Amino acid sequence: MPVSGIIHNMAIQRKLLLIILATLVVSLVLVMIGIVGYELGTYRKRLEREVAGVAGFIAANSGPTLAFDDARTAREVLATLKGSPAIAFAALYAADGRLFASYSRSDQRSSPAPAAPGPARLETGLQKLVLVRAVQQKGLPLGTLYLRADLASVYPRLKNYAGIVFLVSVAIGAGAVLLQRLLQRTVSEPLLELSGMAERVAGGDLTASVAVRSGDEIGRLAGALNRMTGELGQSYRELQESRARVAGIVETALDAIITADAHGQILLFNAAAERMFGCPAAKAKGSSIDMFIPAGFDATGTTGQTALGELNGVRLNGAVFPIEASVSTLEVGGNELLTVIIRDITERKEAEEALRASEHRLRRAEEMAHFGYWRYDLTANHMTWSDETYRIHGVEPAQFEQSLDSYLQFVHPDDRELFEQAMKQRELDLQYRIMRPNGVLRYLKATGEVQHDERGEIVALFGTFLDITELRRTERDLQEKNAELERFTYTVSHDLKSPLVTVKTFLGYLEQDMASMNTERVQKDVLYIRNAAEKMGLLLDELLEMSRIGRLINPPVRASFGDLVEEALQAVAGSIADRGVEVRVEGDVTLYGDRQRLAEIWQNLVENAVKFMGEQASPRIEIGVERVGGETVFFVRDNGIGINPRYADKIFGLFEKLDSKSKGTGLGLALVKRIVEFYQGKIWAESPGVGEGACFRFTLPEALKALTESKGAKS
Amino acid sequence: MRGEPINILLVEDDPAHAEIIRRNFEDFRIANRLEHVSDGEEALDYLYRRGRFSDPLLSPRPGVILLDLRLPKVDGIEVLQTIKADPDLRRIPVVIVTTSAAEADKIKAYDSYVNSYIVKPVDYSQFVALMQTLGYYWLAWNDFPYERHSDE
Repeated sequence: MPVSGIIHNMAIQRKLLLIILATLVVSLVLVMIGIVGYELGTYRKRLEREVAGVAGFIAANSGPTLAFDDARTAREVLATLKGSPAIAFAALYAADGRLFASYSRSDQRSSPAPAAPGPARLETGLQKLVLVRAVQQKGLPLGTLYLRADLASVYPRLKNYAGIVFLVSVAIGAGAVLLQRLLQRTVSEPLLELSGMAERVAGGDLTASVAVRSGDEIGRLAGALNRMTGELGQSYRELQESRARVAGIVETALDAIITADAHGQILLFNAAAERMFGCPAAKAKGSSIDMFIPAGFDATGTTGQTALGELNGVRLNGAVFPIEASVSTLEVGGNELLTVIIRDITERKEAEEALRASEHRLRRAEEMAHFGYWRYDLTANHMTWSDETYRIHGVEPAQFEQSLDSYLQFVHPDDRELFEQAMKQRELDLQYRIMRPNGVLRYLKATGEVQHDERGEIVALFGTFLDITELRRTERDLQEKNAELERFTYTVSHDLKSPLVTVKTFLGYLEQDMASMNTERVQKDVLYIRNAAEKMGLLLDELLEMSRIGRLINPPVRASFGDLVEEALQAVAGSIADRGVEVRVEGDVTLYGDRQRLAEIWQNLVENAVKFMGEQASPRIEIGVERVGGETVFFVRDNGIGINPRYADKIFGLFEKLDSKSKGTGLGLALVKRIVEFYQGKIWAESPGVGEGACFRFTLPEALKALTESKGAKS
Repeated sequence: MRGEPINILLVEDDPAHAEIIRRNFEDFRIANRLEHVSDGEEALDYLYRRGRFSDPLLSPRPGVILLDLRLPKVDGIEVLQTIKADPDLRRIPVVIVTTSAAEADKIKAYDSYVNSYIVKPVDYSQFVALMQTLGYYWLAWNDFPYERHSDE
């Protein structure tokens, strides 16, 4: 491991110590180098001056010795060099170059003096200093002095310095250790605490905290760490809670929730799934989801919640049941997780089926009964209809705007106010008319009630429309039949009773008059009785005739208008001839029906016209047929006494007579009316007034219609 | 009894029935004038003095009207209603004399303020007895206001 690596992993405490010590050592070494350098420099200079001085002194004192060749004294002079410890060796050479005297410091092993001193010089080396000078007296060269000093004397000093430096280093080192100990409390210990805390947090103890002792970086770090841990703890708790909640939801959910991995392997199977599929979660986990939803589904590429629609689920026992499922895909750490939410829709399906069946029944019932449902939402002004309601109104759903105003367009203008009034009063039980878009008039009965909201306010009206057109038609027919029956009964009780009263009363008079032999009155009495009896006979015949019309017995045949009229005219030829009436016939139409009854129409009308010809000098009857507004209208016109318009309708009544003196029972026109109505026709009389002739017009749609269908008719 | 004799207006379309009533009046020596018309239109013409009845001397106001129900042109009920709706005529007692015993007819008649409703008996002696009673009742016993008609 390289050094940097070692340092990198060192405890901060040691790192600090190392830094402090390294700094100290380096600085001390630098100081020492400086001192040594300086010491050496100054020492050399001082040595040069000392050597020069000593050399001067020796040179001055050794001159005579040389001159006198006194070697002993020369040695004594040289011996004074003991006072200069720097001088390691000195030698005095005579002028002839022979060694005269020498000196060696005591510590010097006797080293041979150089053979020749060489020229005068100052030679400075690293270890030694050599000075060579001439010894002169009064300008006379006497010899040469050779001095050699060394730096030995400086070493003890340097040794001292080194000692001091060492001691100082030791002292500083001790101080540094002490300082480090001190720092450890203020820096390392909090850091250690922090690291301990961090380790606890890492170990999962999120309640750990550390005391903040200082305001420095460590203090701030501790504060931050505390906050971080607090927040982390909060988040963790929230996460735990949220996870618990989710787990609670998943477990208590009514929908089955299954989570599977990308391969369909089940990872989670909640309680609802257990119940729904009849399979314990332990068993389901690890199985394939296909086991429960065999149809499978493709969840690839789906994001968020994707509805899968209706599928089939399979219980553990193999039972298949309808489900509705949705899937969501979630990517967790590169793994795709599928969460499928499944709802058992068996009951809903059954309910839907039941509802469909019920709706079908209702629809059929509506169709059969011709009643439709409707609902009017007051706040939205929106009307909802059932299928039959649309049929009743003769429209397709797209043709109705579903508002009240658009509905009023259907209502017959004369009934609109009535209908609106009923809607306003919220009391719907009325009969009214509607006009289908194709112009067909229908009678409806609307029944409805109000619907309240929770505050008791009326929010809607709803009810039924019943098409009572057929009912009304039947009702009207029945009413007509009833009225006719009433008239019939009335006729029987009144018109037949009337001649009976006459007969019985005059029989009484007859008895009386015969007893009193009043022949004139007897004759009268008998006449009244005969007339009354005849009238009764006639009435009975006609009543019988009348009752037959309702059931025409002759099979329908094709007959031309001309033939029918001719037949009718022959039947009344006698009275026509008697009165001398001119008859004109014009028209060509083919009819289809009971020939005899159809002929009776013209027969009775002609008879009637002849009877009421009055005093007309040139009586004339016109018989014809014409087209009026797309309808074939027959007519019988005369120029007789006419009809007071006031009684124009009354003439068709059963046994109604306008003229009490006229012959007949008043049955003729009633008979005609019945025949015309049998063929769905109408009959009416037109007359400008009394004395201005009359015109009877009538239609026979059924007699013509049957023909149109087979061949087509001309008019 | 006061003033001039009461006139009777008979409205009857059946000539035989009119003859019966006329004979009864004769037989009981009822001297009151009997006017006979044979339909509703004639009855109204008489009362309003129209057409051939325009002479007031020939068509005096009747004291009693005997009215049949089933009449040509204008029927009895309509005649009755016209009389009772007219302030000049409504004090005239109207007696319906008819063969109809129908409930509807009776109701209509009484609703139209008829004064009496009589169903013609089928039996001769009963008819005779009825006419006698009717004559005595309306001509002898029944009292009228003095001002029978507002125009008198």
